[in-house]
Amino acid sequence: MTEIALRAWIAGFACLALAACASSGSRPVDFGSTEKAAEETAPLGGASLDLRRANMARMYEDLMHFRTALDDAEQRGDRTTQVALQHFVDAYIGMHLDPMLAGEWQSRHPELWGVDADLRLAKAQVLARMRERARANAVLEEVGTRYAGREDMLVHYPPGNQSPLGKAVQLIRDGD
Amino acid sequence: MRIGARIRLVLLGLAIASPASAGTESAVWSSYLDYAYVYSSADAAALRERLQGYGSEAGISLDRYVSEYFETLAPHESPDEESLQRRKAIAHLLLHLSKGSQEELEASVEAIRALSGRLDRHENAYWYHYILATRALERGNAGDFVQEVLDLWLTVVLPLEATYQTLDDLSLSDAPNSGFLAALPYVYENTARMIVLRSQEKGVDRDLDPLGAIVRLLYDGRVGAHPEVIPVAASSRAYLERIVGRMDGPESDVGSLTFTLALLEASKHHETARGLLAQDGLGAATQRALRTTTGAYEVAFKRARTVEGQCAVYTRVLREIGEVYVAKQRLDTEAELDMPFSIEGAVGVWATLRGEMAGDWKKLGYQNVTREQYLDAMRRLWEEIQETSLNVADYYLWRAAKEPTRADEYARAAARVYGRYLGFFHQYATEDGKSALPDSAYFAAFEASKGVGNALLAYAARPSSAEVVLGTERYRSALLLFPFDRELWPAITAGLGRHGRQSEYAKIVRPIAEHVARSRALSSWIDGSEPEAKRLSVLRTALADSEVLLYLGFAESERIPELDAQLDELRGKREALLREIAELGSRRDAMRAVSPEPVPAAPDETGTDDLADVAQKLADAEALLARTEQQIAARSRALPLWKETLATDGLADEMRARRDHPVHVLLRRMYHEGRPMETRND
Repeated sequence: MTEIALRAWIAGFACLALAACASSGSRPVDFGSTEKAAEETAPLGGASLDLRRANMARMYEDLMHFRTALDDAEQRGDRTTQVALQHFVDAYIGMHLDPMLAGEWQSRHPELWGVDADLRLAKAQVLARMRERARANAVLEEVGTRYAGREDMLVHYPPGNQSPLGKAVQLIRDGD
Repeated sequence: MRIGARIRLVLLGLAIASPASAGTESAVWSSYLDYAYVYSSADAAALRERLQGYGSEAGISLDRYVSEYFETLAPHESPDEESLQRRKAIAHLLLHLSKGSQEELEASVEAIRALSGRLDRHENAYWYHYILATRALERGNAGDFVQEVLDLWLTVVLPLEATYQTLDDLSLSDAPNSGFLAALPYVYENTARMIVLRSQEKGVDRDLDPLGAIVRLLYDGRVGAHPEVIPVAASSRAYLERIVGRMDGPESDVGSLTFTLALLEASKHHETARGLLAQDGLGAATQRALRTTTGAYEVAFKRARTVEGQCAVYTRVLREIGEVYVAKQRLDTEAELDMPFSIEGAVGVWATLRGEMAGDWKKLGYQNVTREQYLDAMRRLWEEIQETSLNVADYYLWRAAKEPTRADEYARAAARVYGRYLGFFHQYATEDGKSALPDSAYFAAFEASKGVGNALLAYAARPSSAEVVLGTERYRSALLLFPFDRELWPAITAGLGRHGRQSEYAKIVRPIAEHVARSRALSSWIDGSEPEAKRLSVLRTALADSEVLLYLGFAESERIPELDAQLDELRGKREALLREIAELGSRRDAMRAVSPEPVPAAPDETGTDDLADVAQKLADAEALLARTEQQIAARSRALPLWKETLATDGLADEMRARRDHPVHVLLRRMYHEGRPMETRND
């Protein structure tokens, strides 16, 4: 295992530990708002905004593929693949997705909030399939906080369809 | 400026500036090694050719350059140890890939491991994981291979992707200082080739499923998405499309990459074997190819975790079995091929699929497909079961004809194979399950039923009484399934004849004819001018006539002139009778005028005609005329109808040749429209 991958997995386990704390009621106050470099958290414009949107859209598609792959492995009863994918997806989330989702502003930016909400719901779906129900619920809680008052906005859920954000959150919470 | 042009420009400058010589760094080789991601996925022969060309350009072959520079002088003189180490690892890798040398691969691994502390540089990380993945494949270690590819994706692909698109939009992805970022399209391509092609070449045919997610990512807007860098036709896009299509379709094992690759490999071997079979017959090379194909299907079957996967394998492997039997018959050869697959196994898989038709069919593996696709998979498996059964049985009939001394043995083997299909058919061709059967299943049941009759009544040398009865009964069942095969009607009389039961013909066939005459499905087919309506109309009219039925059973087409002549004779006889009656009538009238006494009961002993005698002759002649008129009327009506049926010959052959023939649909409808119960359970 490479050093970087090892670090990523350690980060993943750290997230797991945090999620466990969150589910037990001792969630740290700064959860979800980890300190970031200024250029990563500040609102963007022009090409940078386009890049952010493109990256978020790409990651959404990636998560949908992970969701399919996890579903398939579950259906086949292929535990080896499930475990390998869970580690991989965990590292993916810890190394690449969470830094992308850390900023507060993108959930308020009219050009990004749609894909931001989709991405968060996709993350919750993938976590649920990884049997990380507590972490999935934490993501959904954060969506509820970030999008309070905007529960009627349409999001891409279930895949291939659209539904109001509030309903989508409830459906995922109920077991998707 | 694209990468190829960049390399050429750089090399031109370097070649002018620093001509190479053994023992010193070659600027030409350094450049080619830095851009090795462009060509490292070429096959061994193409790679050897490239390296030879580059060696000529550099003035030193790569082998010599490695031994004389990297292994000796470089460690002492190079100021850039990181680049040196990476190039050395790449050089050894290229030598391994071009020559298959394990020592070169180990040297490559050793060299790249020296950079394990510098994997924050994407170029280092790419080669690190790529080389270790290559070694994992060489060792057949699927777990390590999967891990290296996943690490490569996390630590190389994703970081590069985050900025590549923007630079590409600004046409900066190929700028000289864009560095390894420009390699992203090649990283996609090389990763794809390693997963879907090289893994199979190296025989890594298990535990690849975690990479199914990566294959989906590669297919989704990555491989083939940069045609200005790698033309789509030169990329693995088309193959990925096929793989992802298979993973998502009904010929899958719930999206398993391992299974999909295994089945695709088996299909490739199958195509090769088919080509050899067509070209060289069943020679040694073809038999080897067929064994390889069977082995590959066996691997795919072992990889299948669901019934969906088993169904996909059986659907293909049955085709191979059928092809072998057809070839053995066509080429008159006795090649023996051990097949670990059987028709019974396929029937078992089909039965499992059928068992969940009204239940949770998705749990059988069809999670990602529609119900129609699930049913279609069943129909395709059924078609292969029916085709293979018919081919195998036909082979046994051929053997029976070829070896008269073993005719009984082979004929009974054929009857068993046909009978197994009939049992399968009658068990599942039910109202509630008919959507899982292909339209051609009904005609195949006809062929199997007729085949049993043929096997026992025509091919077997000494059938038992029970077999004669069974054969005759199967002929009758065949006609119920497909009453439009004119050849089968006389076969029934022949079968009955072997048992001295010709008199039962009419009783046996009348219900079949009535079924045809009453069939609403056939009526609407003809009224709607559906395909073959005219031909079918002729047969329906003929079957509605009881005298035509007798012609169908007892007459032979070669005897048509004789039958026509007999009709002419009857007409001549009628003319003669008319004349005789007229003459007798005149005589009687004349005698009555001369002798008004009552007519005696019998002629006198002199033998001369008296009135009573003439009257009797007249009565006889009139009775004969009435019978002759009847015969003429019947034959005048039935004979042309029967002759018309001769023109309908060939429909069965056409349907046998085309499993999508439209009349298959009609047979299905006729079967399910209140058909007599006895054929469902016999």
